[in-house]
Amino acid sequence: MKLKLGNLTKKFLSIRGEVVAVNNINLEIEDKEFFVLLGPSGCGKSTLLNLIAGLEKPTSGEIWFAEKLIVSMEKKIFFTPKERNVAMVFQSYALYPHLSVFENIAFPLRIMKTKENMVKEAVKKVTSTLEIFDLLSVKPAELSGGEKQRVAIARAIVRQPEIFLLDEPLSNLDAQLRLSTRAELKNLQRHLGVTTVYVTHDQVEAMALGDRIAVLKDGKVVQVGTPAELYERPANTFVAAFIGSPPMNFIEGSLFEEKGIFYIIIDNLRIKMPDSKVWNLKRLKSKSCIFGIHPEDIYIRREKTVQNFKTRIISVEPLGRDMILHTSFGEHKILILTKETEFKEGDTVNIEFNWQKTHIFEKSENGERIN
Amino acid sequence: MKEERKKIILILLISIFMLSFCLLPVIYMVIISLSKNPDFLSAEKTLRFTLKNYFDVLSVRSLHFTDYLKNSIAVSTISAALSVFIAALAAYSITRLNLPGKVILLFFVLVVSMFPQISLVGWLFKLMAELGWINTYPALILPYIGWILPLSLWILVSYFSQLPKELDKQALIDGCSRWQILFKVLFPVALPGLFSTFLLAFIFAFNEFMFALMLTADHKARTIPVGIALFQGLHGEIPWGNIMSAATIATLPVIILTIVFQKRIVQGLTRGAVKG
Repeated sequence: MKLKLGNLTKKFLSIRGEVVAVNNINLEIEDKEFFVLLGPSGCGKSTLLNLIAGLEKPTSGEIWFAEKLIVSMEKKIFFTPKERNVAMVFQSYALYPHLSVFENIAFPLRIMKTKENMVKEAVKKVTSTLEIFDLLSVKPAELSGGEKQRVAIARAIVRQPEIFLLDEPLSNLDAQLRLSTRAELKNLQRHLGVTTVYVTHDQVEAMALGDRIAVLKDGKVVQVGTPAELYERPANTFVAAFIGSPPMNFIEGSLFEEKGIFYIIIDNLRIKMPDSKVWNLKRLKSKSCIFGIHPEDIYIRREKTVQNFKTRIISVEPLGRDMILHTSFGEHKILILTKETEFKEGDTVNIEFNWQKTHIFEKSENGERIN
Repeated sequence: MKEERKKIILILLISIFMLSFCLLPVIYMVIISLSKNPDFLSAEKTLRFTLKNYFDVLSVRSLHFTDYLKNSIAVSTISAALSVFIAALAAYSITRLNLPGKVILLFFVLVVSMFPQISLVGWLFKLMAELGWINTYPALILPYIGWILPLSLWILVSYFSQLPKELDKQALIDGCSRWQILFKVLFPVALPGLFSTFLLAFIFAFNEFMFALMLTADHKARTIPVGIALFQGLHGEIPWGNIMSAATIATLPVIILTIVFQKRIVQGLTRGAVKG
């Protein structure tokens, strides 16, 4: 089912005054899409999820489930969670501690007063999908983290929800389990074909799972796009800094044009661009800007040319297949990801940016992309 | 090793001291209730064992002890159950719903509970007399509920606020109404807490003296503490044997309740201390 949020705003009153948790958000989530809400803590992503679930009322705005208006503060429409048929998995799993695994999974069906034989059949089906049928008589307190998570997912999918909401479901698992569960979760979502909204602060998780990702900051959507779009064309420095591991390098500098030729100036270094059309610059308000470049888009050159410059290696992090070099150039710190592994601390290397993959941001509070 | 042993011996000694300090009056009570000539003011007489006091207390109709016991249990159970139920609903709304001024409400309740009983009892007597309820169960149950409720509310508010709020949210998502959340999720989960609160409330009501003294007239509604205190008035001399055996029997319901449900009470009082 398609999900549409229109001008959605949620304000809270707190001791510190009014807090705008969700600020005029417009989103369209396609049918059967795996949609990820990504942002640092306090960006309003969980509040947004609660609004979709119906756990909270928005201050203004509308929510549509397919062609049906579910919430409109202006028209005084509000469907309760019960009427929405959404399922949700919380970070803490929120299993009912007094009920057995079977009863936990059967709980939503029992509330709907489903017939006993239908309940048994439905529970049997989901527990065999998730391979937890041997746990049915156990109480949640005796389960491991991974098992609890499976039970929580089983309970969510047992009544065939129209929308599946996940609030950081993997963050309580240890690293190894997280990786395997992540893959299973994606398979399960494809298999069920349910529109899914997934909240996380972990960009790796978001990139791995999402068909599309919305990056949130201070209650606003900063950018929506596929993982590749966010990685290759981040809209501003916030998204650029958030996506990618090791993170993108940001280097302050300036840019100027002389007779159709662009020059880059970093400190007292001046590099002439080989091709001025590389960037397709939209606008250039001020000369100073921020260059963003992913660590893997920096090359190490044996010979010094006009295109490259010298940096000193401060430390090295061998990752097995690759190596991260922490280098310094004047005041600037530059991370480089390289497959060559013969470097050591104290060495100097000549580095060259891949200008095609260099991102140029405005030097302002928002750091908007300008190329 | 020596340090360890010293520690153990010290702990044992202190425990023995504490135990005897607390239990001595109880032991004294039991011994007197079992002796033939319970005039414990004269020291020279030796103890002679008998169960006659117990038989008397339980079988002599004019003492009405069994009536008192029945009244006490009925009044305490009903007041404790009602106050825990009301307190649980209130604790739910205070911890979960968006009530304006709930902190003020809680403190107001605390203030109300600070009124000394003695300042209320005269007015209560007038009220109950006008209603014609003197010497009936409601005359005791209603004031008891009012008296126990603040304590129950405070215990349950702290208990409920430790239950994860995500349980409520999950139940809402799973299609529960507010009442279903209460009865299908929160109350079962909070059962140890509800139970220990019930027990405390029960003990409070069971031991209450002043209201019971003023608002009852005879064995139709009189409770055990008052009944035992008034034993002496019935007979001229002080029947220590009867009083002590009655007191011993009166402690039994509370002791039995505590022993049987010990595990639940401890669970209820310590839960939330550690995350789990």
